[in-house]
Amino acid sequence: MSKTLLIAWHEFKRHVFRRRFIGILLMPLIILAVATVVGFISASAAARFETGTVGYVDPAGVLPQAANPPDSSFTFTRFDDETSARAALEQQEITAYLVLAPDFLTSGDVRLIYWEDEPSNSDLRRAFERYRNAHLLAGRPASVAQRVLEGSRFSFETPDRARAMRDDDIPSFLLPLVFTMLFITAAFGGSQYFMQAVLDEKENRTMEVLITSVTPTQLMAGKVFGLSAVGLLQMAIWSIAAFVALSVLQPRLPFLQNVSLEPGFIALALAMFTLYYVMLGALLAAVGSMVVDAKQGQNYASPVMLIAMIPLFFLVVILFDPNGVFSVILSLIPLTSPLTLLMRYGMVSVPAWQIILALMLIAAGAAGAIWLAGRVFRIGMLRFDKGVKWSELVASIRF
Amino acid sequence: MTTMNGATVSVSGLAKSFGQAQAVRDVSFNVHRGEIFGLLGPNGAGKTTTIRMILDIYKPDRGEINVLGGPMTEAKKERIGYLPEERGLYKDLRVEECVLYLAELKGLSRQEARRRADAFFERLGLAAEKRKKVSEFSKGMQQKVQVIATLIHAPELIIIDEPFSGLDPVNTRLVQDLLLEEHRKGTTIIMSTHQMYQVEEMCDRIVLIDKGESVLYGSVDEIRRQYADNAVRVTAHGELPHIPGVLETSRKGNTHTLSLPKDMDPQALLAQLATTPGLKIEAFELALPTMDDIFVRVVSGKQA
Repeated sequence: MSKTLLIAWHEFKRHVFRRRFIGILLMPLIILAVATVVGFISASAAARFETGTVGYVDPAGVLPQAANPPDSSFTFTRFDDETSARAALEQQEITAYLVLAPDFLTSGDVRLIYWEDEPSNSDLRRAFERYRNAHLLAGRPASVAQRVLEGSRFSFETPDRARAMRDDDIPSFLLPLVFTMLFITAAFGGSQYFMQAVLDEKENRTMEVLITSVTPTQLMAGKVFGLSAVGLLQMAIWSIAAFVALSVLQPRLPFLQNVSLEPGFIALALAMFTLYYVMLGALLAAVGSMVVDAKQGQNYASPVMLIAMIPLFFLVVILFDPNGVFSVILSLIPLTSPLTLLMRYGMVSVPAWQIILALMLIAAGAAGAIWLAGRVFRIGMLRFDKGVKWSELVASIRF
Repeated sequence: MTTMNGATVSVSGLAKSFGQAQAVRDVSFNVHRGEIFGLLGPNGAGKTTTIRMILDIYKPDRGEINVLGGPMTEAKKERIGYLPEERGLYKDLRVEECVLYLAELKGLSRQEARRRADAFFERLGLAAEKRKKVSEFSKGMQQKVQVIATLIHAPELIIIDEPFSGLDPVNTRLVQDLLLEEHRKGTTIIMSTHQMYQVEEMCDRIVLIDKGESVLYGSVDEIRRQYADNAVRVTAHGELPHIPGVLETSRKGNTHTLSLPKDMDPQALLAQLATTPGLKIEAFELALPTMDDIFVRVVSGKQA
């Protein structure tokens, strides 16, 4: 076996055949389970207010009692005055009542009076508007009334129909987002191995023996191969688990019926993950070479991780303006590009040039990071007592 | 294999700086094939930097190094065993696994590495514990494992930095025996140490480095003679006669140390003592200084 492969296998074994690795594999399942429990608790807490009978008082007389739409979660009952509505509220016959302003037609003002538990604002508002519209549409043909009530459904397509998405297709948008988060978690977590792998050999003082047995290039290449394999294995297991979970849940959950991950997305995600992982790993290996212990390593690594997390800080900007200048710039900077680009890919049609340029830049970033790691490694590999200063780092790059 | 001048390692005019600090200024020496060569010097003298340059870990700023017949190559690394001063093992690995990995990196097949490792474990009394994790081993036991990892690939050249630090007398003797055994097989050994009695006991020749320069170089015997005052040590039963010309006499038990004038021949003194009635001479030797004395004299002399 070549020495590079020997080192790769050594690193792979050291990380995979460990209890800690099983914990990492189970992490998304634990997060999913916690999220499900939290979601369930929140949902059951909210459920109390999402149904019930709501009264309304209409001094202007613009909204006589009408039939409630059949699928509405709230039932609306008209009261002649606020006194009778309040009496009904006190008797707990209704959960709340609305008072329409006398100038409702011009102002649209509505007061909501509730006892203790405030009803879910958006659900009640939506239900009231459906009720109001049903009243206004009374006498119209049933099909017209239904269409007005249900509104329009938009779909977004590119001219070649390569990318198409419906605006009610939330799971199809969420899945790439979830996948991207999973991917970034794997890359962030896995890249720490690189730092630790270099640091371990400095801390346990095997470094000096190793570099009289192999070249620094063999040592770094072995680590990159072995640890990339660990990351890819982790990603593969998570992906397989996600697909199995999806295929089990799909027949049971109607909203997941049409969910699928596009092959294009998967290919792009895989290419980006591999390059990003290697780049981040090499940068953190460089950090491992510069420092003397894990604590100092975390300090040095935090600027890298902070830059990499910029897309998460500006998540809202990216979600609301996925094709804006800011989103495009973040899509092209190697440290932020996979997270931004993959999120955008789930929402809009990303121009091909941006994808190609982003891939080229991240490949260049990965190559540059490996080069940098090699440089830093040579000056820092035997610094056991004090780390490499930033000025020395800059000098080594210029040299 | 040796260089053209017959040396296994040849170092000439070596210099190395790290930023403003000059670690090595001018170091030169040859290490002959099959000898135990001592690399001596006070802390910070430049010994470790010199060793690292020999091993091609650092590139010298100036000077020439030949190892095993020429410049250092990757292939030659497999013919060298190195035990650095800053040493350690993978704490989370089993002892056997750790040794096998380091042996494989030196070019041994796993099978051969296992066979040799087992023989070493047996010899050093670690066979029953080879499956334990390194972290479960005491410091002394870990030292023995490190020595195994240094010797397992039967190197032609061993470079060993402070081999006895942290070892108790029993383990010191064990490691010393292992090194002497390698020496008998013809292996060249470069040993950096502070323990001067080990140098006297084991080394054929030495170089003393101080402030980055080689200040003393040659065989241990020659150097001791060179630094010897004209004095003899006599172990005898009976009273020593008064000998005219002797500058000073000191006595410890039956051993007398006599300081002689520069022009006095010790052989003539011996002849005189041998004919003294009632005096039984058990030993007569030149009173050579210890390496420890020479080390202190040279280093502090320079510092003064």
